[in-house]
Amino acid sequence: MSDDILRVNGLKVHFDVGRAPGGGRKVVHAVDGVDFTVRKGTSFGIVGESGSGKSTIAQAIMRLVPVTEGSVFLNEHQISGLEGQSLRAVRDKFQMVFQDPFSSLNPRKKARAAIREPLDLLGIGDEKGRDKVAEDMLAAVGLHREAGRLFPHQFSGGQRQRLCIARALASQPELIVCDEPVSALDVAIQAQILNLLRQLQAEMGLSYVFISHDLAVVQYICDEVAVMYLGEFVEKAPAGKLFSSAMHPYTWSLMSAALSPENERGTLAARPLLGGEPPSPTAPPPGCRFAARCPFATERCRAEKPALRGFGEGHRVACHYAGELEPPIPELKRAA
Amino acid sequence: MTGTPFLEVRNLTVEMKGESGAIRVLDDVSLSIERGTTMGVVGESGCGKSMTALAIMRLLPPGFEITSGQVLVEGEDITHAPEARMRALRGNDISMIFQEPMTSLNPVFTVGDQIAEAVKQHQGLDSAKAERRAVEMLKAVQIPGAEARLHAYPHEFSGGMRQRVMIAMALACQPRLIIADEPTTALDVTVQAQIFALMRELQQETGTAIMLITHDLGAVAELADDVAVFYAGKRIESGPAGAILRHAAHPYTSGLMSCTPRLRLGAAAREGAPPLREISGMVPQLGKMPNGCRFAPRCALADDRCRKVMPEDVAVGAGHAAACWKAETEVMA
Repeated sequence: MSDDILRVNGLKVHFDVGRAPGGGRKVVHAVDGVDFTVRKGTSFGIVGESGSGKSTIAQAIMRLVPVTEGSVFLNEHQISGLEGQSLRAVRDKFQMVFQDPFSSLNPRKKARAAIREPLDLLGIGDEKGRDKVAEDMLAAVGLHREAGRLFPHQFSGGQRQRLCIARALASQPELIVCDEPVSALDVAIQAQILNLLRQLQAEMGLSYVFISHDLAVVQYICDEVAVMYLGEFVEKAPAGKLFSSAMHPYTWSLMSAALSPENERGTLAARPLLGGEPPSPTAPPPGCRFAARCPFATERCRAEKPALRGFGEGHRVACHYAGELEPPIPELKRAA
Repeated sequence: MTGTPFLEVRNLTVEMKGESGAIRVLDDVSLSIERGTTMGVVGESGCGKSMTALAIMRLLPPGFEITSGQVLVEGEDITHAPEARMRALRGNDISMIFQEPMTSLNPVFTVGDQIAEAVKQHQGLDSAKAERRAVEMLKAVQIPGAEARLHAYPHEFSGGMRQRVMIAMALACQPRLIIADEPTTALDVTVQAQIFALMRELQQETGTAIMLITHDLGAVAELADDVAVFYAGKRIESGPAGAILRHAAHPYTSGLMSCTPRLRLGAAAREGAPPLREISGMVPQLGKMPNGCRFAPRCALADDRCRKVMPEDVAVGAGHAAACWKAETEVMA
């Protein structure tokens, strides 16, 4: 499968958070066995509530948190197993854009220095060449070439996110991991950044892992989408398939909770809404992790853990009753 | 009862006094909220939404001052009311829900104490009665095990639960207006949906008016009767929510509508995403406002008049006004 740029197999990230009452250790199961591949030049989206483990996957790919189990391959390199110099040797190929453009830029570094930094650290090119790259990247993200002389505080939020993207692009990566890159931005600016990400992908053939809690944003950017709940994927499909015929009750509840400016007043109030909040990731329930909040849950769901099963065209669902349940969303019924 | 709206803001101007002179942060803002209705206040960050709320509550930060205009509560001008009168109003007639449920609760007091404090202060209830009211309020916002949770501290609650506590506090004195400043921005969509459903339900029961400050047009569509759109310190469009969301008259409002990505479900999802329109450029800096219409530098329709002369509100429909030179012709077209 040479057109896969990223392959994640059985990824687990657990955090030891101290002694459990009554002996043993308390372990947060942040990511609990996920598999996915990202094809070259495409975007893979991960959606879910806060605490579901989306950002931990991003950090595990970037090697910012230790991988407990499983493997991550970037092209032929197993980046989950690399250390020190050999990890640095492939660092230029995968870069990250963070959520908050205010805290992810050093306030004492000028824009040019910030964009150059990955090149400086990885020893790519010479002095002059690096400055040229920094200028080119500023232009590529729609900022003025001269803007490199300014400090981060002289930029607006949207411009700072452009700077962060320019920095991620500097080492000519093949994969960019975007962790909620637009959720700190105003809608008008959000649209600019989303369009920029799409344009850069088309021009440079970039691949994205795109993490967001906003289904509409994920739909706009992504080719394939995974829905995550409490450390696991509950549904995964090509975007067109997922949004036209989602099968997991948790995916439905995310869709029902989505707001739209076109909705009539009280649309949400008339829909069946998900109650409660996710259970603690320190002691995930034995059966289906969503069972406690699922309106369709049975005894079987609470006792027996559902595996991801295939439903054609790359659509996989972890629900005992997938395909048998009636979606509570009218659009999905009509499409089915 | 009819005639005067519950809250009326008339030509309100707020300035920030600085070393280099006064900078206008709110410029000639007018809006009114009827009893028992919800007004959505939308706009980008820094456009004056929260500043309007703070000016109404007379809680402006140091250095900020109301320099002209009026705030009327049931016809009473409170713009220069003595502090004692404001204390009686705040929490009792008008209360506020802040954006950050994580930081707006006091970590060293139990949630029960914090809810009870408001009713003791404002309604002179004794401790036992205040505690009973606190339990009632926690039940009203659907916190399970209210009696036991009364003695819990804020850190023992999740984000959604803390926001419920904030709502319980805001409702405890049965205010007639609640100002909710981005009440769900920090929350997950599923929890946001729960909070919105709760706000609607409580409004139907208590008849309180709500001023919902948000950047999310979806939230406005869900909850609001009326909408006021802010841009760069000015209220540039206002009217019934349905009219504004379907027939926005100001190019900024229609721009916001078209740059919000829409979730397409069912058959519509099989087609490629339609391109997302952008509003190019960004909000002008405070103190560096253009002479004419403040949106002119970003507006595709702008001409010389727009760049030179500030437009006034023009009526574009029943109760629907927009401050745009192009508004009338746009509506005709």
